[in-house]
Amino acid sequence: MKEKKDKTGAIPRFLNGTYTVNEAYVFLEESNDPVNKDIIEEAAFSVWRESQFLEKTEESLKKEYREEAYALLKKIGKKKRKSLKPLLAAAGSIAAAIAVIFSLFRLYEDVSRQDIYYECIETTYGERKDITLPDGSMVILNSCSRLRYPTKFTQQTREVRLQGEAFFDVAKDPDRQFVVSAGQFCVKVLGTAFNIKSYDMDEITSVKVDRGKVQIEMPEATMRLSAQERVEVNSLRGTIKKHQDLYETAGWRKGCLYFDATPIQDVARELEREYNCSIVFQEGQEFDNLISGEHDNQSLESVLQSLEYISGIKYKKNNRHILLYK
Amino acid sequence: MNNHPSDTQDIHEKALVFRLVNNDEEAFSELYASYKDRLIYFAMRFVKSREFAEDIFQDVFSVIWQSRHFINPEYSFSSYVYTMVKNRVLNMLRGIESEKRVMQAILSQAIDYNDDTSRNVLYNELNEIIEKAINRLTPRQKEIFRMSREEHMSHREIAQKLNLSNYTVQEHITQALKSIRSFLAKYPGSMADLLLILICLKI
Repeated sequence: MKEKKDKTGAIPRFLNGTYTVNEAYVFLEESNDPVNKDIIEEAAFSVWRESQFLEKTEESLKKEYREEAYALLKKIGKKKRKSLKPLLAAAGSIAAAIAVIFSLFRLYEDVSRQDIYYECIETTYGERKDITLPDGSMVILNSCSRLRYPTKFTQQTREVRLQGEAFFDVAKDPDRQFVVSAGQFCVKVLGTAFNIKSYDMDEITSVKVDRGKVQIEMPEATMRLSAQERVEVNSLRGTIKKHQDLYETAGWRKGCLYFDATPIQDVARELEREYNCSIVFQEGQEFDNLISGEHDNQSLESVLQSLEYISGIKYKKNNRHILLYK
Repeated sequence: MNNHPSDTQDIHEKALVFRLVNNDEEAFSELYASYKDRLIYFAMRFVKSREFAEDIFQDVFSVIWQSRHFINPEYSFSSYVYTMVKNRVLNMLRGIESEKRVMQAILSQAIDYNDDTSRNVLYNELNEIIEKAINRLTPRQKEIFRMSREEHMSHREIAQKLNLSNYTVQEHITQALKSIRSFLAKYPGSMADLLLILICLKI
């Protein structure tokens, strides 16, 4: 009666709770297979839709839940505040002293900063550059990006600033943190390899760790990422997603384009940067497609064709100008 | 019976989310309380254990509080919550190799679960035994169980078709599972004999 693409029926049986041991294994196998991604997503969404018809939570139970929520807040708060407490307690009495010390420190910093010069490397459309930093760290800058770094790392930390996208392979130095500021990310590491994608115009910015561990500080959240994990911030929707990503980090180094539920607008901007073209959307039409897929070293034409194939969005190409329409 | 999410609820929720973004703990606890049953239900459909579902739920709401300033009250809060819980559920299932406890919870809820690992029944033959067990159910249980297992209908679809409440459907399936399990358990250690009988009967 219903068209299900999975052959075994293990997915609905598993979700309905009428599965055998064998079917549980089949379900886990099928649900981990990228081929079945859509089926799983669809199944999950229908469970979610179903869940909205649950009986209303009883008021007495709700009261319990609210108390739980406060307990959770306390738990979260404790973790965060622990390191601040002694500081706050002392703050009142020694604020003045701190102010003096701080201003002296600033003065010292200003003096010692005078002999620091900054290098600024930029790339244009379809261009990539390899950069070796003063400490031996390697950076590969993707197209339409800019990296600013001091000609000498004299500070306690090694600080660089990035606009756009770059892959970092940081030289180990346990005594000096390596810090990248990029848009809303502040990524701190000791010696690892990772990719930051933070184009001003993109809806989604991300950090993906290839090797080792990094700490990421954002305006309202701090998190740690390990190898093969990726964090994605959607600035439009205000969401943060952290997940495993087993695809090759910074596949763009080899000319691969890789999209994973990427908003079509971000895809368009990436194509513009990569192929030096301009892409516009048909006025009056709404485009909210999420694009997934990989393209290895293909021509713009063939990427657009596969885009049309998977999303139904058609294109007109006139030289470097492309119009997307439905 | 059903509480359809209405427009007024949406507006109410939007107001709560707005307060949440502005550090309002009361609004947080209100959202927590109103989403808890729903998220636990969703997660349990996958991870088959209240304990793991609770873990996921607590984690989701910790993240909601910690990243509240990134939440845009103009967007649907429920789809935000859904994405978070779904990703965690699927991650938990993906990491299942390393998480033996989750696997154990899932297997222990299977129709033919038994902790005697020496009894491995071939898949097709097992289906025959289950078929036999299903035939011993009451007509209503049989009907509902078949709709769920064979026609892959969701509890809600069954409820709508038979004009029953979701809860009643759930109860019938639970009862059906119980009696099938006890049918299978009646043959402790002699599953092989049973298979033999079944095979003989077929000839």
